[in-house]
Amino acid sequence: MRSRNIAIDVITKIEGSAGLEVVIEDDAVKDLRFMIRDYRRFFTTAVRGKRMVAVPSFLSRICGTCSVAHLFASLMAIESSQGIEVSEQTKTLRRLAYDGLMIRDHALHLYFFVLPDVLGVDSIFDISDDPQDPGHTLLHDSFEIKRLGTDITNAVIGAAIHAPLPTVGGSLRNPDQAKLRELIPRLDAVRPRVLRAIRTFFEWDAALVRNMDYLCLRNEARFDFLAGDVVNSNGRRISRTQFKDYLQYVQIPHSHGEGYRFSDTDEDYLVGALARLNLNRDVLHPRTRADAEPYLSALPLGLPLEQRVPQQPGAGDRGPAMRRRGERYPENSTHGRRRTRSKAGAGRHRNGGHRGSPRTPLPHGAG
Amino acid sequence: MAIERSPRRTDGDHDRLVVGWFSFTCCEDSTILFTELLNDYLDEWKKVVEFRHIKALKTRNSLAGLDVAFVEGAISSGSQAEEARRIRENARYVVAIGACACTGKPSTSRNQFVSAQINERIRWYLSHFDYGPEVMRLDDVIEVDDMVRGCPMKVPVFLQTLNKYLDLFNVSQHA
Repeated sequence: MRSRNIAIDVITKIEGSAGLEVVIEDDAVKDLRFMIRDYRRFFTTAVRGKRMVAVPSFLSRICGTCSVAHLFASLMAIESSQGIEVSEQTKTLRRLAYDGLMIRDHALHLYFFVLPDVLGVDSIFDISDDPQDPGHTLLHDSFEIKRLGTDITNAVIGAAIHAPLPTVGGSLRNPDQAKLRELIPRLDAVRPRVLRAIRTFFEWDAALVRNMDYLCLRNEARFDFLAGDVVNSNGRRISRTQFKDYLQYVQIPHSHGEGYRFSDTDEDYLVGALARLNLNRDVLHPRTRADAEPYLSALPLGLPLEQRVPQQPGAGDRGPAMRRRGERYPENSTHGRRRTRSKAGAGRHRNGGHRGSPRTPLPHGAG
Repeated sequence: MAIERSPRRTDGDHDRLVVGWFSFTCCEDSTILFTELLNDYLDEWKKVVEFRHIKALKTRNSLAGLDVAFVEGAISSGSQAEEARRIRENARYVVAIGACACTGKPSTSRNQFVSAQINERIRWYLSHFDYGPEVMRLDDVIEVDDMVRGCPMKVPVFLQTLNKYLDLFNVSQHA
């Protein structure tokens, strides 16, 4: 039986600033502290008193990585508060811009942060310059994918970071349709590179399997980042307007980041890409489902086997069967189809709130 | 203010400019923009630039012997100020990157809060961690040699600044 402490002062290859402390006693994790170290800027107080039309641009500065998300969230909140219904064209353009963000941001995370680990090197700077080297090929795939994601967002809302065109009720200018058309052949051309990435990460002999709940947005009509209801792997489905009622603020003594406990469950919950894929794979685009079928069949990842029942499309019937509330799985169980890389156990900390995302985003003091 | 420093190095690899990239209090938009620039410039820069410290992309980082430190973000605390001074001591030149480093804004928003705005939640964070009384721009804390303004940084100015230092250290001729 061994006891030791693990302290990582600076976690690297993430966006933001964070550290980790783990206390191990008798081979068991007794305490774990994930510390977000980004100093808060108190945007929710600073934004008060600003003119309504200036708010989205200001709140976009909460995070340079996902500025589009903060921009659209503030626009949608303002529009909701004022009873403004935007046109279908605006909704479509926002979806398109958000897709561009996701393409760029997922590629940044997977290739720039994770791929070095897959290849056994420290960073992208250490990947071989030999064009025949698989790492070189993958890295140069990432350039094309990231560039395309950025160009989509640029074409639709004027910039990929702190975009100037979206405004309350619509857009200051419609996109140049010729530029949109130019994107279509590029999307087709980059598709094999994306599928190569999926295969690469699928075949990587590592996985994260945790006993936890997943939480995401679900739109029955499509895989959506902007519209739908909030669902979790507990089977709960709540509308956007009810969401705040389910979140309970949690002060985390060792972290600048705010925590929020989702009141439907005692468990930690995970948001982001894995949650979306686990709970929404049936509404992926048919072409995606067809091309990625060998990999999608592994979903849901990170959920215990007992929860892996086919999803049924349809309101209120979307979730996998759930274990009873509060029921825990044995600490040493590995429920995944692949080797467990990191397991939640008895030592999991209970501060609530949202882990994960496409790129392990860290909040930048929004609160 | 321009600082007189010899660009001639007596240690290490003279073929490449040794660069560090650092972030303090900000949204890291310029870091993201920098990673986008790597789409187009990584192959070229690897020949002329050694990225010795950039924790967003590397695990093994070192402050030693930096030619140029690019620093993004405002300074929120004494510990951040101390870290900025450590960067200054280890770098021949320091370039402030983006609006928060160059002007403090919008990270300095809390400097304008009146007491009625500082609610219980804000007060807890300010007292529980080592927040300084005011958020500062970078040149309030250390001497800065160049600025790349913008939110995020202006790309043409960043490229011009990087090329300036490549020339200053006679690195370009090795490319």
